[in-house]
Amino acid sequence: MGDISKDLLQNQKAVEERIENCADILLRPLQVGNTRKINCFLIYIEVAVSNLMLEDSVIGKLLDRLLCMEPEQIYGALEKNSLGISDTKELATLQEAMAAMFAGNAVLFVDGYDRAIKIGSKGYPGAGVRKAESEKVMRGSQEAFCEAVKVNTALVRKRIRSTDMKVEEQMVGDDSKTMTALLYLEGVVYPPVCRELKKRLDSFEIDGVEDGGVIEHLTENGMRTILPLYQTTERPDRAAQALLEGRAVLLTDNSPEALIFPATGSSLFQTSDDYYRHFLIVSFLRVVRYVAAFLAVTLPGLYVAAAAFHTQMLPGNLIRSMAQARSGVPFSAAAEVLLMELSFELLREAGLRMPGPIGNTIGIVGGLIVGQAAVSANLVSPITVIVAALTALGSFSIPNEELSEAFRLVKYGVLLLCAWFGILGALFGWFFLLIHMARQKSYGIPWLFPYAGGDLNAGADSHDGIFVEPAVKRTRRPIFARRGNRIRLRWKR
Amino acid sequence: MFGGNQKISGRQLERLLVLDGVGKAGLLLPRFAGRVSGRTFLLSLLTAVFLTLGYTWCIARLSRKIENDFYSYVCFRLGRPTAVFLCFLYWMYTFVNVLFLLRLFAAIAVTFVLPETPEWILIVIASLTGIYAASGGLEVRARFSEVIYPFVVYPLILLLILAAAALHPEAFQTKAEPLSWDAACRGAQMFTAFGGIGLFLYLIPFAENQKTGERALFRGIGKILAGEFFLFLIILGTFGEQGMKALPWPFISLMSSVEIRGVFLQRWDVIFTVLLLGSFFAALATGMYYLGFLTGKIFFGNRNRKLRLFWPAAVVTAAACVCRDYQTAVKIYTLLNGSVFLPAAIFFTILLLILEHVREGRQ
Repeated sequence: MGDISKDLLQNQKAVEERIENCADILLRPLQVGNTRKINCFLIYIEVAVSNLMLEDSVIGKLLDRLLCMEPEQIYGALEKNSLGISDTKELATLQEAMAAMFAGNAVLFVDGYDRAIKIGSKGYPGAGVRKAESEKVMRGSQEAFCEAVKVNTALVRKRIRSTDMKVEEQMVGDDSKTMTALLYLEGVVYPPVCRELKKRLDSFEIDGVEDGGVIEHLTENGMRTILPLYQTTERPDRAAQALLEGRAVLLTDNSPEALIFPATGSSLFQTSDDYYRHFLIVSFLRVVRYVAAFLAVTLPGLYVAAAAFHTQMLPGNLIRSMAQARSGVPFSAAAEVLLMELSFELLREAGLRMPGPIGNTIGIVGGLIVGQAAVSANLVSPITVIVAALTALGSFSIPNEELSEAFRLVKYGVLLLCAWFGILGALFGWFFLLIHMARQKSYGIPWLFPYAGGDLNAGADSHDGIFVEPAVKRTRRPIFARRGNRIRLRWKR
Repeated sequence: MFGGNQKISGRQLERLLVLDGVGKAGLLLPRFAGRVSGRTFLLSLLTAVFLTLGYTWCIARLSRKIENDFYSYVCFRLGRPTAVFLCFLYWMYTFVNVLFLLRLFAAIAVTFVLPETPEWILIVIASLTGIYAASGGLEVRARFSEVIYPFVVYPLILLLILAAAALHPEAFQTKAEPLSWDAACRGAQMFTAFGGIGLFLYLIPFAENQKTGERALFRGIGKILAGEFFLFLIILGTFGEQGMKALPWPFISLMSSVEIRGVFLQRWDVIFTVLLLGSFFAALATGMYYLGFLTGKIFFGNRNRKLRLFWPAAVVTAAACVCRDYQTAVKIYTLLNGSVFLPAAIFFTILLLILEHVREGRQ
């Protein structure tokens, strides 16, 4: 695709060749000028720029003004943008013109003028700003990102009203031409972090990017770990907090989630309202989350270890009631737990895929009826149902969905190890997992930070690990921030 | 540390040292109780403590002279053949140490946790864990040790406190024996359990800085020695000197005797034993790492990072499986490390210190 010609017919022919059989892309011929008419045409995507908008919008007003001008004045006005229309831009090549049209804008070609004019419009239809669904909080904003990158950028800008917050746009995907926006706070973020992301984005060519998840898995070493190396969030306030901490945020068009990086395991256990509530309550809740994560990975295995290998650990009453409960069950403890866990996985998936009211019912049906029926049929013992339920609750209590899913998978490995090695299997499993965590880094920051290396940055990061210090003492940014700019709170008195 | 520059912090270094020594020393030292009284045993232990502190001081002083790495330093001072020989000496020490640790791990696991599991399976799994940690390099080992430290060490401290609360003062009434040369000799044997700190000389270039490394060394060694001394004081106070001599694993027996009221678990020995075994993973990771590191210095240079780790790891694992039983492993450990490799390593350390002293005197 070459430069835009002064000959309108040549431009029109080139455009028509490209939009052949694209019924949603409209080419509208026009004439402007009051005495001698000058031919021009407008190309736009039908729904992104509605007919109504043409008359009563920037486009409509531009065309109205051009209609009343002398032909000699038109080219000068367009060149100097002396009409004072905002959100217009001159485009020199056909490729730029097509890209601008695909971004949801209208593009005006004028006979005798070797530039096209991009005119901003409302853009593609999309769901507006919604309420946060997967990251619910007790206190704080309820807004969530939508699927338009411009709107999402504005939601973050609303919270950081400073020109230090930079927004760098880059298109990814040869066919999808998906717009991404990299947000960071200049002077706070480590520049190599942003450079590294850009290097990773430039390291591949792909036909289409439909969601930020594609970028996430193409830019991290996904083959080596199931642990998330980015933190995903649907909340603009969480993204803004991350920017203030010295991290960077990547927004992707058509994706309602932002990617925050670098990400550590500790940051995946934090929620945005941790900083809006009393530090003692938050500390308690963080302990609950870590215990929940431990249960999510280890409880099934520990039950098998206690039931099959180390009954001497348990009180006599409990051993007797477990033995009674398990009498008549034809499976071993490990098989029983595996059966129950897989049933819960089926219920979870079914509940996700079913539409609204039916999905909720599946949970009740599965939990009460299927679970009760399985116990009555002596397929599983009641204790196994409780173990599986507690494990599921533990998994749901982990704030980050990707980490929760990773732990769901690890749980089966620990279960198998406990089935073979008892409680030593849990130790093997956890130590393999911890060594694996110790090997991971997200943009240079160890995944286990601040539990490993927390004595750096004057120990500030270890005061935001499990236990949180009072807000009045949270004066330092975490280690993600540039060294000379780590003080975020100063007291005047 | 975060630049992938193979540097570790003082805290990480200290925790690596503590986890290396805490399990091994606690389980190995009662073997030296023999037929002596409890008083003599404690005196022997004190002798081992002083010997260890003295050796630590020598290592710390020598580490100040090392500019790049210990191997280059020895090449410069004593020539390349000596540097290679010293690497080989430490390699053999580490090999025997890892073999002993694998056997000890299997013996404890089979005796107290999984009586029906063949030992060789436990040896292989423990070895694989150590290899996995070591293959990530020094930073991975350091992070891993830093994270597991509270979960391994703090429960053991809790155990000591709970056991101390149930001491029998009359158990301290031991036969008063005159101090003898035998106590000093036993102390020298016990010192074998702590002798691995000589490998710190290879680690010093990776510390944040020399001063931090030195402080971490003394803090780590101090914690191990203090912990071991109090452990055996409590064991003596709980079981008496006859009990300590009769029990094959008095440390584990101490765990069985502890009661934690108000918690639903009936017995805690399995949990504490498993946590103690957790410290072995860190020690095995250290051993495997040094085997790979020293193999590289002797044979491969900087090439073939995986090969230089895996083949000595495979050999030591096979040797541990083939080694008849734990008693044989202890004999090999006390004979080879205690009588040959460790004294030779100490000799070279002191020789290098003397050479430095002479050189400084001339300057």
